[in-house]
Amino acid sequence: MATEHSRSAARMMMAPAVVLLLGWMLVPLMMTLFFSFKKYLPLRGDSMANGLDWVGFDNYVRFIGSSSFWPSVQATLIIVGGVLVITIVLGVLLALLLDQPMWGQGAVRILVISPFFVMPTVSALVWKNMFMDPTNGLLAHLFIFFGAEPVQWLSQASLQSIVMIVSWQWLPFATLILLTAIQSLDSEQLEASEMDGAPKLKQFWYIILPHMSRAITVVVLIQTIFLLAVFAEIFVTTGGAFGTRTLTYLIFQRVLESQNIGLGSAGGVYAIVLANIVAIFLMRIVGKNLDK
Amino acid sequence: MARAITNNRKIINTSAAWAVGLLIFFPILWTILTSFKSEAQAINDPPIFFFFDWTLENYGVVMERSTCASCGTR
Repeated sequence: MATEHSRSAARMMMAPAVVLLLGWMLVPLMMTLFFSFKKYLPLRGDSMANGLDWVGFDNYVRFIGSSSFWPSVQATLIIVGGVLVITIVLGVLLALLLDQPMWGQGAVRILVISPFFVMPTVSALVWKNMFMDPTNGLLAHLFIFFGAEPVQWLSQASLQSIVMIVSWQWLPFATLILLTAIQSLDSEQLEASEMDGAPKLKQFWYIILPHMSRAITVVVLIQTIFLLAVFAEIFVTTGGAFGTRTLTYLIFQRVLESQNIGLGSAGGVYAIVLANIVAIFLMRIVGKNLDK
Repeated sequence: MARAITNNRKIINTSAAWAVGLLIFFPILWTILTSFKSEAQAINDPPIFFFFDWTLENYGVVMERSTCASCGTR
């Protein structure tokens, strides 16, 4: 039993961590909000020391009014959606396959999980220079070998290429979580259904998939959080060209390339809003799933 | 009770899983292989898989260029 005394002691001991984490979250958020209402162009001589001009909602209006805003939201959603669909469909299939009895199961699992350990920048560089390069890339060699014209991946199918790279990175994560979900399924249920004459496909649809739904939900949630912030893959491969400018990348360009901190901060606030809209939608769908 | 699994089934599972596993691992394997190639052989057409002149040259260059060569002496 926790007494009043021990409870307040626990609070005291937690306080440093809570204060640190709260500060860690609130200080950058407050700074972003602060800058988003200011005119802050360091190259034009604006500085914190001289005081910044208050411009109200100018930055917000300009950020959303720019012709690259809606395409960037679209690109973000395509990347997040595309990667989610690919990783979950392939992840379920891979998890089913890896759950079967076989020789060298541990070794295969390590092979499948390995892409997750590669840093995003490195994997983007590897894919860009060694696979998707139209002259030296392995994919180009493969296409020529089969007598086809090599595709200029990153300029002709840029968004698809990035979805592919990011999917390669996140497939292991989905597979790993879904595999543990399948392993927790009681085999007696499957055997009972088999006795009743259920074909494999129906077993999958009515027993395995509902059993995995929670794990799928978790994968969707965690991946969405990380995929909204995909940056390195775009920076390294296309640099935001060919329609791959996501919202994150647009903010980066506003702040660091055009040196307009106020405008970028307004973009950051929009990104927070977008992430929350997506999160609310997901939570609605997911909440139904998790309550069961 | 668990059922006995036929060997045939196991062979199919094993080969399918290894094929997929190697396919997913391939970019990393290719990176490792290329790291042992010289510049000229790395961009050879057609690409060479195993029978190139294995060299540690690239690893030396990385160590030289990195500022960490003096880490121990500082």
